[in-house]
Amino acid sequence: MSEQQQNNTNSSENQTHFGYQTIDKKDKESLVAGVFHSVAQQYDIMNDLMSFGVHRLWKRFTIDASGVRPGNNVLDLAGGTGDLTAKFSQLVGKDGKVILADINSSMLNVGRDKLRDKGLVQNIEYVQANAEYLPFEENTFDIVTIAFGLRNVTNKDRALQSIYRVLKPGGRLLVLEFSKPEHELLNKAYDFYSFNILPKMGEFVAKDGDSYQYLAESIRMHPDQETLKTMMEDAGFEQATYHNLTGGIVALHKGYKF
Amino acid sequence: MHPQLFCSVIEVIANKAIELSKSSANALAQLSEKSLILSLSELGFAIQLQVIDDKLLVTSPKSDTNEPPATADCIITTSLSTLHEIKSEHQLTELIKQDKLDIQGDIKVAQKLAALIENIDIDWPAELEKHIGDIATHKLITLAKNISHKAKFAKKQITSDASEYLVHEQKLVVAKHELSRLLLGINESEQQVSILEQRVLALTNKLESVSN
Ligand SMILES: C[S@@+](CC[C@H](N)C(=O)[O-])C[C@H]1O[C@@H](n2cnc3c(N)ncnc32)[C@H](O)[C@@H]1O
Repeated sequence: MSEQQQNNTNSSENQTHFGYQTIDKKDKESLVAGVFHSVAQQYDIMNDLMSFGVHRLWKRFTIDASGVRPGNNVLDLAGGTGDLTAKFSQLVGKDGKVILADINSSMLNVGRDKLRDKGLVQNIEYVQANAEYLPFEENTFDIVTIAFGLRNVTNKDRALQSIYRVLKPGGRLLVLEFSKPEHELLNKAYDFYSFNILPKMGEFVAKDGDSYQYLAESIRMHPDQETLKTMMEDAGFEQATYHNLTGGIVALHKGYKF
Repeated sequence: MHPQLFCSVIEVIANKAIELSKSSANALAQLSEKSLILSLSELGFAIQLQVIDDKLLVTSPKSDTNEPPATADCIITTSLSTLHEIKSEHQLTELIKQDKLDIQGDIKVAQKLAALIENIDIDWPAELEKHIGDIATHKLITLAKNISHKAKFAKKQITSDASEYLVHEQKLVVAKHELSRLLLGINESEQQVSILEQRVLALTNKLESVSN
């Protein structure tokens, strides 16, 4: 192998995407952190605005598909402001437990305040953690969810393996994430919306167009439905399936550890 | 995602109604931590109602084949039309025998939930007052009464006017025999016109032969 080729291989091994930019892997975490520190306060409002409130239905679909039962141990990974945690906390009851984990302290703080205001305190724990290196024992959780979080993770394969490790046998992972619209026309309309309208909305409401430009770009760079399914299988998950929502703008992947 | 949309709308409406209804708190407390699954054949999905911390949670559990099905204190499988049929408890056994209704678990949960829904009583004027103040509420209620009074009057008026118009218009309406007489007249004129036409034609021919 020539020196040039070797350099290229080395550099692609050490590089990753930050939206459409190619950056050093070691920088991604802090850049992503910058985005979420910056959007944390306005995150919930922007979510409602950007998705016309439909994100609430996507999240409900995730809860309904999770098969959660009273007494379950749930990890809401990259849980941010805690929408899923709130519902899970009610559904697992006092015998169950939900851990809201996020790499970002600003998002965790907003989440903690919001859930406390809702009176949800008894069965929720907050942990600052990186999805790639989960600080939990093997076989701990009945359910792990990661909603709109995986695309921000630097090494997705490592995160999937780490999730697999902490799941109990019989436990399941649910990945809710933007994906590839099934129809070309919808794809075009969605592209226009994401790159022309979304950043302007971000600029106007959250005074932060750049972060929303990153969000739009990161959505496009995220693996499509089939690729993510294969990645889950490679990490050891069995019976991996996915379900397209809103024409494939979002997909819910589900896989088991047996 | 229509089950999720359906459930979230029901959840919001139900909780708002429960919150506003004075008699609901007690009924809800009796149902604390209880759950009910209702499968209606027309819907194509099941609805789970759970009472948790003074709130009614409405979900649509969806179990994969390798998961145990969702459980609840009471599971009812039936159809909307059968639900309408149920007017007394005596009917239940009959409907169960006819396979129109299946109840598993504690039927008291279903009865208490039904009672909770039936007994929702909201003091609308008091609620409005909280949001828009008492004077505005008074005005709004008077306005609403006026409107409803006027609407009733208008409805009565329209019905009586309509019958009056019908009587008057009957005089103006063309009767069948008048119409057939008119048609007959038209036919006759048509025949006369064609006779005239033939005469004119014969005369012009004559005129031409004379001049030649
Ligand atoms: C778009 S938010 C989603 C929040 C929430 N799950 C929801 O659906 O509303 C993405 C979250 O992923 C978190 N995140 C990014 N990289 C992460 C990592 N490596 N490990 C854990 N969380 C991460 C971010 O801090 C952010 O809170």
